[in-house]
Amino acid sequence: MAAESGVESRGQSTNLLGTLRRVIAGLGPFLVFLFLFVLLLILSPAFRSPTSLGLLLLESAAIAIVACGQTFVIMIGGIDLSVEAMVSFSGVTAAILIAGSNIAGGQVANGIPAIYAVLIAVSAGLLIGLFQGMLITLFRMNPLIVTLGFRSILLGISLVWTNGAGINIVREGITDTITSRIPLVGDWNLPMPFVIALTIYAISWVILRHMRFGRYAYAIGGNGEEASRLSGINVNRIKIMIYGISGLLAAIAGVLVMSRLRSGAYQNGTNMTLISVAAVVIGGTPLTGGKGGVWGTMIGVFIIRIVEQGMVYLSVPSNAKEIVVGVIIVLAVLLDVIRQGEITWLRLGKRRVET
Amino acid sequence: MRKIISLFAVFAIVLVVLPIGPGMAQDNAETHYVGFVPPALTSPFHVAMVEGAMARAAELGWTLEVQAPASEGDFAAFVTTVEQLLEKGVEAISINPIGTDSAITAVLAANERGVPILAHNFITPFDQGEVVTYVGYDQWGGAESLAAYACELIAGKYGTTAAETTGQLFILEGIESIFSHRRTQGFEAGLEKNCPNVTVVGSQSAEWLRTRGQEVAGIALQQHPDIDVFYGNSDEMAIGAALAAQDLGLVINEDFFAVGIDGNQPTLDLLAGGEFSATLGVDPYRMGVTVIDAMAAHFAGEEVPQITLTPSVVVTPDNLAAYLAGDLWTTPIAGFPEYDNNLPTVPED
Amino acid sequence: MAEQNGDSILLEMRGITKRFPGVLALDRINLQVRPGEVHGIVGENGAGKSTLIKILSGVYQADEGEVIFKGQRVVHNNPRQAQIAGITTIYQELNQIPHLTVMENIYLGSEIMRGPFVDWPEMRRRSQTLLQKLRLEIDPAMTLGKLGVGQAQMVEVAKALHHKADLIIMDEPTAALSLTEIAYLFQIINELRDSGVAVIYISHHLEETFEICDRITILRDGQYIDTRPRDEMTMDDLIRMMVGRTLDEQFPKENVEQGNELLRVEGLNQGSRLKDVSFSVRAGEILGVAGLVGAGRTELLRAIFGADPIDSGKFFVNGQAVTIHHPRDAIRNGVALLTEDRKQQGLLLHLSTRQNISITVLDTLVRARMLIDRRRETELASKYVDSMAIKITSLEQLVRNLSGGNQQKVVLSKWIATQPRVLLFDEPTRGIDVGAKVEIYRLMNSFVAQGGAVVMVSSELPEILAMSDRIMVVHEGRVSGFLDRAEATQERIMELATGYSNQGSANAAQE
Repeated sequence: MAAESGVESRGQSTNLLGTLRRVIAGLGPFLVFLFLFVLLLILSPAFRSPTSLGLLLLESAAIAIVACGQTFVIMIGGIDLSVEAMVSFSGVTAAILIAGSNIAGGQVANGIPAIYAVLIAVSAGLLIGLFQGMLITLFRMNPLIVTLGFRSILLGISLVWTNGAGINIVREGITDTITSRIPLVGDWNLPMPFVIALTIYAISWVILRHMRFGRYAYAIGGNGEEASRLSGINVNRIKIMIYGISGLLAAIAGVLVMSRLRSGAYQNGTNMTLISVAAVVIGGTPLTGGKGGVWGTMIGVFIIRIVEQGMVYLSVPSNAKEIVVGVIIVLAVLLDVIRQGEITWLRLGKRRVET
Repeated sequence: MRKIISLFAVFAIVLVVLPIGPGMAQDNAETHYVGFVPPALTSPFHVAMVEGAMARAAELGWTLEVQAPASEGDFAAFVTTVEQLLEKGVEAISINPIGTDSAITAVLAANERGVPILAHNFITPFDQGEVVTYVGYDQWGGAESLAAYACELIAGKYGTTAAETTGQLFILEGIESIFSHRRTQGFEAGLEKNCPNVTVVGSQSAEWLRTRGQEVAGIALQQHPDIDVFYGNSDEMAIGAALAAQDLGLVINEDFFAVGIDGNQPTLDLLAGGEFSATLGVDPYRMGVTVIDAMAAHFAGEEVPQITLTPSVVVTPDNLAAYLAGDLWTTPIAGFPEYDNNLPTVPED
Repeated sequence: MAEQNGDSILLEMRGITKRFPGVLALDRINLQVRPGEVHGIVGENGAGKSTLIKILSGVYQADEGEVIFKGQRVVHNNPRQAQIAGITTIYQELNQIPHLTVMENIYLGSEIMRGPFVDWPEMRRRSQTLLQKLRLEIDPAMTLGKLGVGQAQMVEVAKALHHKADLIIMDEPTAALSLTEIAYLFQIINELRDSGVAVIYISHHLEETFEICDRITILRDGQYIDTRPRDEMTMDDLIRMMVGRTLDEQFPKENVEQGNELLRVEGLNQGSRLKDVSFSVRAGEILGVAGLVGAGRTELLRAIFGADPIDSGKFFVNGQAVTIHHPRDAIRNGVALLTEDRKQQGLLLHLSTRQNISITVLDTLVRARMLIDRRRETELASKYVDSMAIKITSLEQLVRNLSGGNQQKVVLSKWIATQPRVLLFDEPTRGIDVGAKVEIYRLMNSFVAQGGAVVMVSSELPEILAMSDRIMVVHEGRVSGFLDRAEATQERIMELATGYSNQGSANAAQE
């Protein structure tokens, strides 16, 4: 009997509508971005400058890095709610080490060179991520709960260490380098944070698309965990490493945000969890994982950022912004469901109408 | 590695839990057991106020118990915290509500038990319930005097007088509330009064956050490259704006100025380093002291005014030392309540 | 009683055709059902039985043809419409909510209301009446999950009665029932027949079908073969019409010379599921594992493969003791497991054919120590697609969209790619159409001919009997006996499987 349901094909339809749907599903997010971009170019003269485009890239960089890590986690059907706390935590850690003091405890040490502070903060992110991964896999704990718990723990530590104040730093060495700009022609330049983000995306793409680790990540997602284990894949190791990657990337983003704001504060990561998850889904990686990829996520980040920035360019009243961001997120999930083809009445051309 | 991380986690939990030690009332008639409830201890402002109150209470030999919800928006936890302290038998309590209506529940609970209740950093009387006194500063008035200073800065830049000068100013608002309204409206009134020819080229929410302040200001500068002053409802947003402008190659205190409200330590450090222009210092530490003093006066049977107005001063690099030394502090006086009505707190004749 | 309704027709399906991409699932099928008739539909897996009843119950819509029910031409766009019209389907996998009570399940979606409130007392009273009609001693307020499968199925019948069904479709109703429960179900079916309700009965147990049905319609490969009264044919006729080929064509067993012992299991224990299981299998041998559902057959294979932890036991591969804690260890030692649940455990449904075939051997397909060599991966996948004659549109086609037989070949490919010596094969032909079955058997043959060994778990006794060189029977987690190909019969196997056999003779059968 199963043979019959097995041939009940989805998404492989050969008709024109089916092809169209696949193209739209594949290119959809990019087309949306393009549309919004052109719309804003038309509506706002101020947006038509090299600096404005630079700002878009700059503001997208840190959240893009966070969302890249989130893509890995969602790819295996998990979720990491601790990323925004990690951004704050790594920024606070690095800032305290650089400044040599914190508000809560006064002088904690002599300030150490920024490069070491950054390395320590980033390593801490990796280790905490790995630890969360271990809790999730070895003790079979729910990722939602574990990462939510760590969100509280990391925010709490950031608060306790700073007493709620930001730790000011002076940009020097690496914190200066990673906030610089690479001049291109004329007024055009590339913000360094975005170059870093691009590099991370390129590496992540290679890992996901061309390495065993990435293939296994795709295999584990989409409810393939048991089948993957039975194929001899060390599923636990992959999952632990992926939570480590998420922690690492969030910590890198945390250092970028801190350097840019010249302050390690517990608010540095505000909203980043929600935005990163939304960007991943908008970019075509479903919450069940198993397909999609990082470049889609980057488009997702751009879509969210251009909407946010567009509202400032167009002077939309502040309180309406929440609504727009909320609508984007709900639409993103709706897009996900439609792409999965789970909604019968939206399966274009799939259903024969009988009279 | 797992061990190290778990140690780390335990350490963190201990750190979080430590400050919340149990405070017990003493039988000694000389001392009092009182409570103090900030909306949360997530900002240096509230931490400083607590420190002031603690120091004063210690001087008097009182036991002060400070309890706060984990986050500022948690109104339910706020009310619960107050009720818990009442249950523990505090003789007086001071609260800093930010969601006015929900705090009324807490006030009524205190009234019911006959425990005197005060409000700090808040001078908008509740519709119901008896509050001994509201201790706080006049946000409108403070913002107005900060505006006057901003006018001077612009005039100085163009070598003219405040009344004559033109210029461009951008406002970064907090999330809509009585706080953002009073601070924005008071500032606008101050501009109108002191430099009517300066244009407010934009007013956008930056959600009280430095990151958002930076983002919004960056975009504002694309539309209005000649902005002279960024004013933030909070310092953090104005600092973000200053960073954005500096990223675009502008020089602070030459090409543009950044001013804000709060006067927290990180801001004062930047001010000392010439990286900020001016802040409205309201000295939260001494505001905390004032709260305990008001409680003491009440215990002594003295008449306490309905509104205890604490001073606010515009802190600039020039008077920073004096501000830190407390020389700019003036004795709190009986004041007027503040309402979200787009009118000055202190009525103008 | 059926005769009293004469030749009146309750349901007529004419020229029903249904296509799925690439497959003609039903080709001009006809079906006539009379009131008060129990009508069997038989056919091999993939013959189109499920598709046909899904069209009848509104899950699918026919591409061509018409359905006439109670004299009216009808099209049911969803199961609810069919139910309202009087057609209720009792599926193999029951659509019940185990944590709700019996009466809540019966009245799910049609709760008796008084104003805005559910009228519990009335619902209880009516449920009681319905259950009594079926002579069921069940408290309507009892949680459904506490009932056995048989009783839960009866509750489903009660639900059908509540909906005043004229036609009840039963899809493999006895799959999970004990013998007494089956007898009881038949009693209920007889009573339904007497009260004028028609029943469409689908089962792959031909004896049962013969026992209960008045008329039987035979389908084969999506085509209508014939409809005949039970009394006018023999079992042999039925099988011939169903299969359309002889037994030898169905099971192409080849005899292979046996070599060394490849896998030996000693004293394997796992909780209450596996008790002191010992056996061995030799190169060139197909060892059939028979037993009832729940006897521990699947658990045995999973334990050997390292998929589940064991309490104790030793494994020897090629005479060498090996430790197996994880499937990786098994694979390294040349052991592969093809699971019963192909979709959830065997395949990565969301990935392509290429990615599924290469998943087990990616470590051999890397260049520059880290990157997957896409060219070699494609070569590998094409090699197996060709050698196993897997029908796909491209290597990038998602395995989700392949037919059961092709899916099984993909699973087989990914394991053959690891160059195993021992295949643990759980229900190798479940859900696969007849033609593909034969291909799977041939692939098994060629695997053992090249010196491999197969341990094959199957619920299909004909398959076990025809393909195994030796048969191991398990009963309640223990090995209850071994049978040689020559001495094995359905009866002997069932004796051992149900535990009635004399232990002494069973042990004697062991080598």
